[in-house]
Amino acid sequence: MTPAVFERLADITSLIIVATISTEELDTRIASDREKVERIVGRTRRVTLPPHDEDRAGGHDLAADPARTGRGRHERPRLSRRRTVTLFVLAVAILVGVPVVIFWRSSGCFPVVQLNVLTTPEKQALVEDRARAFERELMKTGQCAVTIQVSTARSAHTAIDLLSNGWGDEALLTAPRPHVWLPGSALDLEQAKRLTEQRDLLEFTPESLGSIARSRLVLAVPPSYQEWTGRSSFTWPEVSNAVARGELLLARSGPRSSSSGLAATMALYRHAPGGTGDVHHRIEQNLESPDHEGSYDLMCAVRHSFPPPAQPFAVLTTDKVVEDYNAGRPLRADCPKRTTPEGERLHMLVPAEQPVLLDHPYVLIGALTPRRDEAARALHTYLRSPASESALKKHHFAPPGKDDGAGTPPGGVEEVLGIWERARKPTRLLVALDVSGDMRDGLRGSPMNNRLAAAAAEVYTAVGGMGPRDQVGLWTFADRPGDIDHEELMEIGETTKDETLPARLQERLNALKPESHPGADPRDVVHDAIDRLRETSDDEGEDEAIDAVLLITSGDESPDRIPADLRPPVSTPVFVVALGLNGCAERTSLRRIAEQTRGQCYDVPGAEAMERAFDGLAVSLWGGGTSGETS
Amino acid sequence: MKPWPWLIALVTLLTITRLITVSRLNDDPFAGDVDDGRGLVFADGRDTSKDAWLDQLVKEWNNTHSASHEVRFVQLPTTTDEHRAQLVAHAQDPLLAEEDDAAKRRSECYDVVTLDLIWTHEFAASGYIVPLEESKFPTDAILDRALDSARFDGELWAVPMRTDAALLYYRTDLLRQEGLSPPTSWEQLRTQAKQLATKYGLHGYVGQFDKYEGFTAGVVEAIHGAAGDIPPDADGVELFGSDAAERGMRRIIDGFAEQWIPHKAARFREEEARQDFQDGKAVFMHNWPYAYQVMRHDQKSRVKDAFDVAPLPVPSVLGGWNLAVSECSVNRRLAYEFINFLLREKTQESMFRKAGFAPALESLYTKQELLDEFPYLSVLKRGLDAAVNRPASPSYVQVTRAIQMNLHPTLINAPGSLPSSLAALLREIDP
Repeated sequence: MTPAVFERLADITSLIIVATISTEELDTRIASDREKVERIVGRTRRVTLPPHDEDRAGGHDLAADPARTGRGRHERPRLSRRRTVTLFVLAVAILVGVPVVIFWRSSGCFPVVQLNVLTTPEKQALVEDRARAFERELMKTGQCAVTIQVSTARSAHTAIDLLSNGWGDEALLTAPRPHVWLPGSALDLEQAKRLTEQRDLLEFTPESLGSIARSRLVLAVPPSYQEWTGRSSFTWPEVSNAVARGELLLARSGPRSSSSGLAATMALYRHAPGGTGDVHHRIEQNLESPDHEGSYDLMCAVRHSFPPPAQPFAVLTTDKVVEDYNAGRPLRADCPKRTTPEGERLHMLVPAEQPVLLDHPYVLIGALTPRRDEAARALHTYLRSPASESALKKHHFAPPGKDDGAGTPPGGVEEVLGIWERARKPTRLLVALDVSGDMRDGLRGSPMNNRLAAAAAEVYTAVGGMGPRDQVGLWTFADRPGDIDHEELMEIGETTKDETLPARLQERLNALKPESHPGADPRDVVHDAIDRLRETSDDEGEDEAIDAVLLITSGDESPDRIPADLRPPVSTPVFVVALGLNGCAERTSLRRIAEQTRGQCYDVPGAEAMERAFDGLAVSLWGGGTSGETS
Repeated sequence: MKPWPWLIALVTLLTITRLITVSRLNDDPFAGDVDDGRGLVFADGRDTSKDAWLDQLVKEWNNTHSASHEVRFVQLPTTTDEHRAQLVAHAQDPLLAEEDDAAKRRSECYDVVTLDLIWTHEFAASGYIVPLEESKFPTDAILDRALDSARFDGELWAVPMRTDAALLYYRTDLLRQEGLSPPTSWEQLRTQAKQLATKYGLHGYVGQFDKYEGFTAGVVEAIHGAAGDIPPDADGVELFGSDAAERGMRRIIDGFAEQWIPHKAARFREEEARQDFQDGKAVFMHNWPYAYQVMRHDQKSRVKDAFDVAPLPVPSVLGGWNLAVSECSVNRRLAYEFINFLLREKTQESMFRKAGFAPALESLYTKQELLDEFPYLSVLKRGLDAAVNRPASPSYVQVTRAIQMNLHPTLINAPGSLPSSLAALLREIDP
């Protein structure tokens, strides 16, 4: 036993003796000990607020109890001798360390509950707005404080997959583990529930508390499409027919990447003339391609591609997203806030039949601790309260209806995704990988030796996610002596149906080393790659494919150089993974290439951005993840 | 027989037993350890350092320890807010759980966590981390200012892993051409920025003015710069209730109004500011030390050989990350060992070289070899010595959000509302 123990023992023993004699002195000692605890706890209460709820352990309001809060302890009347022993026992219990933690845990409002919310990019601004208002409301009205973190996942598929896997360590790179999930619609919820059940992770089964907002599917057309701008409604059969016959170029986001994309696909399929697989196939063949990762990605592409093609063109998405677009709201990093010119504003038509509504459910994830559960339910109530109505309007949402879910396409999500997997166009992806000296540099956050090795590893993983009808080709390029900068390592036409493909691809990728040559002009490489795709395409075949080029380059760019356009204009989308400085900055060649071809330019300063870029690419071209995972 | 003597004797006996146990626990920080072979869980933000240096460091530890003492590195979300949200929610799980659920949640404990130094009070007061036994760490070797940030209520709750202070980046070519020295006061900064911005058609001064934590830091710096008599660790009420609050904020607002701070800078964070300065578009920049190495080594940097750094003309806020041990940890001995492993001089030096993180160890700031290679190290040390704290509070998140929500709109859109915005802010942080 250490001297400190003896000291403490002597101290406490003397106190016990004194306590039996003088309750006043004991009171003082108790107050002193309490003060020590409150010195810490009280600082928080200064900014948080007194509790409103009953204490779970004791069933009464502890915060209102002067013995707990310290309020009024100096006014406490002198206790009678009859209560000396009771007080003594209480004093000893406190003094010998009924742990501070227990005190805190039973004090109703401490600690301030942390609530993590996962939502869609389209709802992020609304939820941030409401979360801050809710935090302030609690403080104003003297209720237990809550801190809310709002995060987003890149796509519905990402959120569903990570949630139904229990949001493990790897998922933390996307967002903190969510307690509340706000997907676009019950369609996403249905998929998450099914996958959670399949994976036997019942403790993460999502529970919906009901809708918090509504948006509806609309057909949005540019002002130049005068045949439709004079109308206020459309019918699903006429749109499905027009698309199936190739008379209307229709754009939508991918059915696995957003609820609106899925709802749109379901509606199109359901009203397809004849409703056969062949018609679904024709619809998919005639849709604008590739699918866009999310609704904002879709509208960003529309913004970049104005004026639209001469062919009749329309976008199938939600009224909320179209209104954001027309209002010039920021859509993505490369689509910042702006004033949308009158001539670029889209005209909205609603279905003449029953509207297709997205119900934006409020979902609790897994077994929450009691106080967090209470906070989460209180936030839901707040989001549905009249106080939130003006915010919904400001963010272009409609308030939830009493008949939640009405009008949302009924079940059958699995079936539709299965049809889509079979009907969608296969992808022909030509990967052009920079092997110039710049690729020797390391990539922040990557354990690989250099950028080339890091990129090669991602290419291998991405190809593993392609479907059996997809094709891949592999080029390397650098400013090599002679006229031709590229070398063909794998001819376009290889499919993942060939079981030897992964091993052959890995062998070729592993053998790559950065060369001593400088970087080549990316426009030359892109032109050659597009030509190659054209030469090898099978236009007459049943399965017209989505041709795309993936350009991975380390070339640095000067943002002040105005690059020349690609000549002639091309329609094959080029996705650029830019590992160098300023790769996707405005007025750079790489950015221009991506914009002109309706592809996308991903700035990749580190390993995390590289993963995100390939995720985005996968969703755009083959729906994301591994083929058939959710079908 | 009256029961009182027996009752008193029984209680006294129980008291003594309890005291002995408590004292032993208090004396031995590892008394509650359980060698369950689980190893240690270390939670830090996403490792974005060159060659994933932190990940390699964990591997180095694991190569020299048995499987039961291995460290599992959990990488948290990249943004600071999300990093905190995950840590707090995870620490709360066992504390808020029902009794039958708490044990399971404790078994998922993050033993060692990294905290933005401003969260240390919140984590300590909330019971998420435990006080550390100071004698078991080389605290004498750690920078005093950094170590102060890890203390709360007279105890040491964390150990600094890396520290930080903002620097004033300036264009050497332009200042030389004009025969100017770097500004040492806000007024000098204003005069030079206006003069050179007009003459060369550049932005005078860029920094972190977007509505996020960087804005809070800038506001705190401006107020301290306008006051001179506010203690470096002033709390929110002292800071925003002072006369200097309006003067400090007004300086920034005037910078936007006079346009030597460009309007677009109201949306700049660290990287946007760096890009602007690196592209040769700005004369002065407020930024952190990491930007130095990026701009110096980048082949395409337009200011590669045309910039240098000086201390800010106002005190910098102190930045940095601390290592703490979670309350739920039953591997505290191992946690202490791992923290000391990260504090080795060799580790700290490589952290600076590889990731640009300013070391927590004092000795590295005078190491000649490092000074030769990184001359800005001495400027950084001066900045650290004069640094001030953001208003520490167990409810810092609410405080910083209140600062941003009330004061950011005054930069451009509502400069006239500054007095009422400050009053509203005070009401929120001191209800």
